[in-house]
Amino acid sequence: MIELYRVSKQYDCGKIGLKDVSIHIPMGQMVFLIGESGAGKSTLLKLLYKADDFTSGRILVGRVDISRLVDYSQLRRRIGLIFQDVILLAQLNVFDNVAYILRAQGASEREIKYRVEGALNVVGLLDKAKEMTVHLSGGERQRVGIARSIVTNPPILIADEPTGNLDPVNSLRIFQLFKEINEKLGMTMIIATHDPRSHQFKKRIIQLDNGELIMDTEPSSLPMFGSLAV
Amino acid sequence: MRMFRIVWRVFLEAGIGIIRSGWLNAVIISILMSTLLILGLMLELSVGLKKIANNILSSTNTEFSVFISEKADTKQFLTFLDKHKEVKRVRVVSKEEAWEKLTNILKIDLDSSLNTLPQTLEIKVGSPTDSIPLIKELRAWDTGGLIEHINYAPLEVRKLNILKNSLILIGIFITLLLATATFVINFNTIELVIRARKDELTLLRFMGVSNWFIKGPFIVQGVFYGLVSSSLAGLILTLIDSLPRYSLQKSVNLTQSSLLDLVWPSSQELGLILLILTLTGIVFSSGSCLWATERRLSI
Repeated sequence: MIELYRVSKQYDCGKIGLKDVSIHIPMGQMVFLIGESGAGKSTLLKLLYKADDFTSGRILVGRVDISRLVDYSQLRRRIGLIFQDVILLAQLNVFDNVAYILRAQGASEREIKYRVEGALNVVGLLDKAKEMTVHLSGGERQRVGIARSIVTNPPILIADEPTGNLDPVNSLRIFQLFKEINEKLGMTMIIATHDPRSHQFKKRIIQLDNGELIMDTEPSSLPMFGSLAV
Repeated sequence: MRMFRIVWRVFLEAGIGIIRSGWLNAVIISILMSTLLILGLMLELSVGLKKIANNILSSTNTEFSVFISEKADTKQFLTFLDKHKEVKRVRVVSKEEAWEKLTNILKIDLDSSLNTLPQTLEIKVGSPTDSIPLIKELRAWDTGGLIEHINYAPLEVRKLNILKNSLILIGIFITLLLATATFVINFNTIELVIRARKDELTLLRFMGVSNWFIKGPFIVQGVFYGLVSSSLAGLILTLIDSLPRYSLQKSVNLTQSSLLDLVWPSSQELGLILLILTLTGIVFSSGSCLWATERRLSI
């Protein structure tokens, strides 16, 4: 469960990032956060994983008031992050990139093998486990990023413009993958995007404009656009 | 077991960091080694001078020695000293006796034809305050150049202490100068490594990896620099300490408990100096690395 109560963010320069935003996202829900560039999507996401601080209001992640946290590592372990520009370690292959975080957490090699193969299977890259990441396409790199963020099985997945650098076909594949992960693994998902194809998935859509919440539609009220087949 | 694996990963990451630092490792190690070597030499010198001072002071403040020239007649001195009631005892040490005493201390067997030692008067006065006025009177009385040298322990120790303190001050100044250079270079190297691994570290940060897993490798890297530098400095210091001592002992055929032991740091003292160097190296180097991570890694 993620709850934002009248959250505002003002930058030092005076610019408003978010203005009085209140959102409740129940566990296991998949939400698309849409809006123009500069609408406040990334700002909202950064507040959730404590990459930035909010000016006023209150944010609860799994009943924990994150403004009271001193050590953010506990919060961040509960959140899988996916960015537009996937950071992959060039000197490591696909398997080791996904395994990196598990090794940092002291997991055994047996556990690593089991979990990494599981995550790569979900994103459809098990056959490329031994490949170096420099040889991967943009879509594949993004899928490695997704595998890495789900390998620790976090209850929440946050994606900030995950399809920003991808072509339409790969974008749809990634959205489809998110939907499958949400349905199979039950992760709460917030996906910031300005890709109009997000409407096709009949999921909750929250729209921001100039830092203000201007639309919050429930899945049932959304029309189905086009086909999901890719 | 999980903790052991995390510690192992921290060491592994530190190793990768050291490899990535390339030639900068050599720069850091050589400067830190030079700093520690100077510190070690300064400590050795300080120990040596302190030993000499202690040996000198082991005689009392009421005694001093007057070395007299060959042409001087000891009777003249004895007559002069007889007139001074503060003089409690005068002992005449002949050239031969002095030579024998010296060869006994050094435990060497040399031909007495090599004896160039002067005759000595060992004078004891009633109170320490009597020594300096009597020395002044003796110098004033000696118009014919009969006195070669007057050896009064507190005066010698005072000179020695001035020398020791000056050397320590110079040593501290050079050490601080080099220490600052080491600190800056160490700090910048770690900063470069942090910048080179910025993406990786950002990733780890947002994945909730603990602070110590991220900072740990840099501190281990600092400990590595400290250990290697202090080991090299210790090795050089031991060589500097042993080689002249060995060649001196060999050339004049000195036995174990020689005069050298009175001024040279013992193996125990040298061990203590090496321990100080190692601890200083580790604390200093890991400290600068820790500071760099605190400043450049906001987690």
